[in-house]
Amino acid sequence: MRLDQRRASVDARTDSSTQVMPSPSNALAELTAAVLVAVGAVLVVWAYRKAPNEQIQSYDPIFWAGMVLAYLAVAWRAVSGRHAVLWLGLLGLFTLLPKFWMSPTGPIYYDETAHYALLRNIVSAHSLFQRTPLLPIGTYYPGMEGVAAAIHWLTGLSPWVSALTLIAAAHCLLPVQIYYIARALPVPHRWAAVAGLVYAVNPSFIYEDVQFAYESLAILLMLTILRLYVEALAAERSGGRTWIQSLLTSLLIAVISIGCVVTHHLTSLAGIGLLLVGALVLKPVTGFADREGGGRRLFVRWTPVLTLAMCFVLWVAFVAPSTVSYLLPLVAQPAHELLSVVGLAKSTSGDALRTLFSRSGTPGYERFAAFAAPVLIAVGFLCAGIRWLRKRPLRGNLLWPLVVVAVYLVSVPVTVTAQGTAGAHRSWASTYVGVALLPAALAILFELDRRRQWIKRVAAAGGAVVLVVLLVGNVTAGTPVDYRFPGPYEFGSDTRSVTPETLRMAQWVLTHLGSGARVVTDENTALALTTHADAVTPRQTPDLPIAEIWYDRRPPLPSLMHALEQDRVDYIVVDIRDAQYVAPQADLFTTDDPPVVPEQNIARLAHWPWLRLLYSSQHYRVYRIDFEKYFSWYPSHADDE
Amino acid sequence: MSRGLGDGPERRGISLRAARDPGLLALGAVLLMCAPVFPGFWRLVVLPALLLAPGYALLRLLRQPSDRPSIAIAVTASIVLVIIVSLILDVSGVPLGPVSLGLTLGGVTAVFLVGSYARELAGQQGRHRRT
Repeated sequence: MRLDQRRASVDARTDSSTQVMPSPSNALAELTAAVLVAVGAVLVVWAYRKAPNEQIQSYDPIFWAGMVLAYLAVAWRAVSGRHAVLWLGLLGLFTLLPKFWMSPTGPIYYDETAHYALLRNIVSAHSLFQRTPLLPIGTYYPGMEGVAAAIHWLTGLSPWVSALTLIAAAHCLLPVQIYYIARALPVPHRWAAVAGLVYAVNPSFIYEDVQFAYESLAILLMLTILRLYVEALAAERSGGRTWIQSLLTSLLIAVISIGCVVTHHLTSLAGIGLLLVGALVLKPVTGFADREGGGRRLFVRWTPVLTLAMCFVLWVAFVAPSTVSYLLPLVAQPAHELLSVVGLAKSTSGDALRTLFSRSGTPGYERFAAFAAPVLIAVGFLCAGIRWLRKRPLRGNLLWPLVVVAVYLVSVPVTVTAQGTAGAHRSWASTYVGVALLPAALAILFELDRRRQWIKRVAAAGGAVVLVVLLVGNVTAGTPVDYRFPGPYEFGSDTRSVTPETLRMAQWVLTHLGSGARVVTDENTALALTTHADAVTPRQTPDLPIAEIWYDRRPPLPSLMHALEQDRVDYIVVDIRDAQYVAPQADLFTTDDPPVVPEQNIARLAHWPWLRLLYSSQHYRVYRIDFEKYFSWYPSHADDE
Repeated sequence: MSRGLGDGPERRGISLRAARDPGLLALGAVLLMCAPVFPGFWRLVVLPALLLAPGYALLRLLRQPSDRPSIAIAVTASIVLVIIVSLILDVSGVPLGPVSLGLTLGGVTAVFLVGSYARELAGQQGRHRRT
């Protein structure tokens, strides 16, 4: 408590020049905003009820009307009311709604399916470090599944509800942590609330970071580390801390760092980056090395960075060495593509630039917002940057968010590379910490709180418009339409390729082949079988080139069949639409797939004597592999076409 | 924690005593340990204990603020403690389940609480000797 009192006096000092006290609580206003959020929720649900059977033009405006209404209602009360944190938490809960309506009963997205398979395996094996072929790296990062399994065991909730509960708890705390990070910089109350709001429009917030996937939890752990770090620096700035207090805070940061590292690799790396930039530029700092700050200041400044980095290095070195080969292509391939575009590297066949929104079917206003969003951020960044250079007394701790915004802006062009788009998108949940603080930086650097009333009103109206553009644009840029809305069957889509026929086939597999049946199939059928039949579906690897069965004009080689036998794969499931449709934006097996599966390659399966047809429906065939028959059959049919 | 670092005026509102009162933290520890014996839906009462008690107990032990703005840190700390406890049990070869996790998490929460009291007691005795 003594520590609290010390901090209070210091903060009153550092914050007094810019703090604007919020207006007194107004119960009617709070109630009105709550009703508006409820109306927004009804509109969103209505849009989702219409989506399966109608064109996007009919339900998309309803969806956005609901979202914008809820966001603006929350913004109103968070900025001008007394309960900013509660409203930001409510916004986190509200934004669970769209994804919940996409998959209320079980996972449908690729990552979510993989992580849910890991969770089910942990629950059934009563042990961590389980495997799924859908996400081999997930084995070594069992943090999130471990917590969901604990919720399941201790509360009796089903695994899926436990997973949703965990993600809901984590998600509603994300804007709250951003609020506290902003307050500790220090940023005045209402601009800290704006920071929370802006973070809640980041491209990953509404559909990605609400999935049961490791980033959704790790991002909370990373933001908590950042918050503790910035608060520790703020306390150090006050000079009211003792060594033991600094040590205990560092210990808490170390505990959460362990959790972050065990949960997600990329978020841990992003956390190291954000802490490193913070250590270099956040006040109090005297000179580059902070030599005048004393030992405790150096300790507070650098220990969290080193702790998180050391935890990550040790985990990768001793538990998850495959992380390096998993992450390296995410950086190397886009870098190579960008270099080849500017002529600094040799171009390869995979180095194709993407055409943004080709075949996406999104309405024009969404595309406009998607292009406008990074432009608005870039303009804000330039204004803040120029002002930061000119107004030395107002600089404060604003260099940190500006550097992070610069990293975000650098990542935006990477999205046009075929290989870099996934990596760039994944970085935005972290770099948006800087973007979230940009309005506060602009307000402080342009001294908005000292301006005339009409200027403030114009700024507020402009800010609301920008918030809406960022919301619509970021969702459009970050999430394809089939990940956002249900709809008619779409070949190659994770979310829309599951039909009642698929579910019947999966149910048959579960009933007749049992849980854990090992099946080779294409990626979309693999997702459905993993989710609905608890099947194990090995993926294409250099050692297991299962795509040959679909693409190669000759029968599969004995080396592949040996590998399948060793892997105890007994079944092949084929969707005959693999040879009827082409999914340009999706891969049946890998990114190097040939464009088309020859129709005769699917038809020949019925004639191979070593495959026994077990199940047949309009589009699906389930075969059992007789390896003994294959090895006696192959020598005389090796050259068959 | 302070107003400057915290959430400003909303901090003056209703406090989350239920989460930070030492007696209720002890109750949380007991709930965690007894989780397997609760029938049916009654086990849901363990959920708030799981998400709050270990984290707040750790904050108390580490002399961190345990007021309302700290709830986000307490929930995060609880989640991390569940991860660490699961890892330790798993590496030790103990099968994960309601009994092993409930007993360990409840025990850890209780140890943190006792530790925080022991620390306070030691601090008081130290001050008493100096005066």
